[in-house]
Amino acid sequence: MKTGRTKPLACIISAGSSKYGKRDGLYARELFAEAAYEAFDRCPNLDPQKDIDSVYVGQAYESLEHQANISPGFAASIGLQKKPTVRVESVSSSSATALRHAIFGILGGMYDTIMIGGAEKMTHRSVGEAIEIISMAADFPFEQWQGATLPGLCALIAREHMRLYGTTEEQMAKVAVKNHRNAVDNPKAQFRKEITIEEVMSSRIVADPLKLYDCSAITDGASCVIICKPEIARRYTDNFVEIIGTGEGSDAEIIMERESLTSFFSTKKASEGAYSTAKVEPKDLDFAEVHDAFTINEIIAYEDLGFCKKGEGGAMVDQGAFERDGKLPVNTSGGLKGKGHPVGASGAAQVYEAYLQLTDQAGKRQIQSPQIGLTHAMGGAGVNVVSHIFRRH
Amino acid sequence: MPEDFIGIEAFYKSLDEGILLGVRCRNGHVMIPTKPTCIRCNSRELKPIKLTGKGKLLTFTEIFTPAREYEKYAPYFLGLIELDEGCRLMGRIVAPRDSILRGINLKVGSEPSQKEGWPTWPKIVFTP
Repeated sequence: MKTGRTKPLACIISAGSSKYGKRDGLYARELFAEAAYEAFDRCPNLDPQKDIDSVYVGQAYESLEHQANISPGFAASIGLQKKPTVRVESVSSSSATALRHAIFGILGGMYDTIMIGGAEKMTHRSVGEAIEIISMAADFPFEQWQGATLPGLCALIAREHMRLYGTTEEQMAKVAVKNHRNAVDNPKAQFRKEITIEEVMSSRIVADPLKLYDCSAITDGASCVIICKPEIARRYTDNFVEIIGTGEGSDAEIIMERESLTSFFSTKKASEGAYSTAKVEPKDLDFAEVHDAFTINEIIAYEDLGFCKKGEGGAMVDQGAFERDGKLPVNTSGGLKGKGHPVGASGAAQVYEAYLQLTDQAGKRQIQSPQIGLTHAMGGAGVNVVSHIFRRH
Repeated sequence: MPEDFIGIEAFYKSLDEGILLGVRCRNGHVMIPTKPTCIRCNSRELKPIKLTGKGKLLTFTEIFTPAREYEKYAPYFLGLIELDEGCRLMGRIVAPRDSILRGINLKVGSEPSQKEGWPTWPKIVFTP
C-alpha cells in the first residue's frame, strides 16, 4: 500500500450502469432500473428492500422529461417505493454531489446503506431543444440570454488557455482521440469506435475553437453505486472498495466574475479536500476519471488536480502521459467524451469505473492492480466540482 | 431592498433606455448588478453608477450551434469584454469578422428583445 491506512469514510459494495447511448423508448426511471438491477445482481447478499435505507438521485434537467420530483419514481422503479429519497442537482456533478452527501448521511450515523445513482434521458429532444436545455447550466440573465451556450463558455475559456499557455487545437483533439480509444473497450460506452486527430480537426465547428468531436454527445443513460458504513461492508461482500477522500468546491457561477478563466477554483478546492481527507497526493494515484464534457476541460483538470504544472496540460497530452499505458491513466472508461454524457448520471458513472478498476472487473480496459483512484465531476463551466478518492480494499 | 436598489430588472430596463448601469459598493468595487451583494467584499451597500460602456475584448468565440432563441443570428460572435471601470460583461459582437481580435475596443449597446412575454430584457450588443 502506498499510503498509511486512513480509515475509510464509507465502502462501495456494488455498482451498476445501463448501456449508454441513444436508448429509444426508454426513459430515465427505466434506465435507472437497468443500472440498479446490475448493482443488485452483483451483490446477492444484499436485500435491497431490507438493507437500503435511502436513495439519493442525481438528475440535472427536469425540463427534458417534464418531470419535477423525480426521485420517488426512480426509487419505486427499483422496488424501493416509500424509502426516503432525494434528488440532488448540480448539473454534470449531480450524482457525485449525491455521493458526497450520502457519505455525510453515513458518517452522521443516520443511515447504514445508501443507493446513489444518476440518470438522464436526452436523445428524445431535438438538437436545438437539447442545446437550450443543457445551456440552462449557464447563468440565465447574463449568459444564456446574451447568447452563451455551454460549449460557447468553454470555447471562451479554451481560447484564453491557448493564448496564455500555447495549448493547441491538436492537443485538445488528442484528448478526444484518447478517450474514444478507451471507450472501444467499454461495452457500456456510447461510442466504441476509434477516431483520428484529422477527424476531430475537420469536424464541424460548434463554438470556435471547439469542434463537434471536442464536445461530449447527447446521451441516455444511468449509473449507480451502493455504499455502506465501513463496519458492515463484509456482511455483503469481500470485494468492496473504500472511499477515503471527498472534497467539493465552487467558483463564481457567472464566468465574467471569475478571477481566472483558465483555472477553476472549484477543482482546486475539491481536490484539496479529497487529497487531505484521504492523506494522498497526486503522485499516489493509479488512475483518474475526470470531467471532459469538452476536451479543454480535461486539459485544465490535469493542471488543477496537480497532475502537472499550470499550463503544461497540453504538452503532457503530446507525451501520452494520460493514455491507458501512460504515467497516469485518465478516463479509462472513455470519459464523458467516449462513454457518453447523460448529465445527471456522469458523476456516478465515474465512480462505477473506479469501482470496476479497484475490484479488477474492468475487463479489457483493466489497468494492472490499481490501488488508488480519483474522480473529478464538474457542474457547468467550472462552477461546482466534487472529487472523491477510492482505495482497493 | 433599499429605494435605489438596482437589480437585474433595473439594469436591463436602463440598458433598454441606452444607459449602462453598474453598482459601486461601500469599498469602491464596481460591478454589474448580477446580484445584490458585492462579489469582491460581500458588502450589501451598493449604489448605482453610470458606466461609460466602453471596454476591451478579452476573449471570444464564434457560435455555430446556438440555442433556439439565437438560431436567427447564427453563426455569431460571443465576447467577454472588460469595461473601463474594471468589471466585465458578456454579449454578442457585431463587427467585421476580420476586425474581431483580443484587445480591440468595443462599446456596449443593446437591441430590444423580440420575444413575447417574460423576460423583456434587451440583448447586449458590442460594436466597434
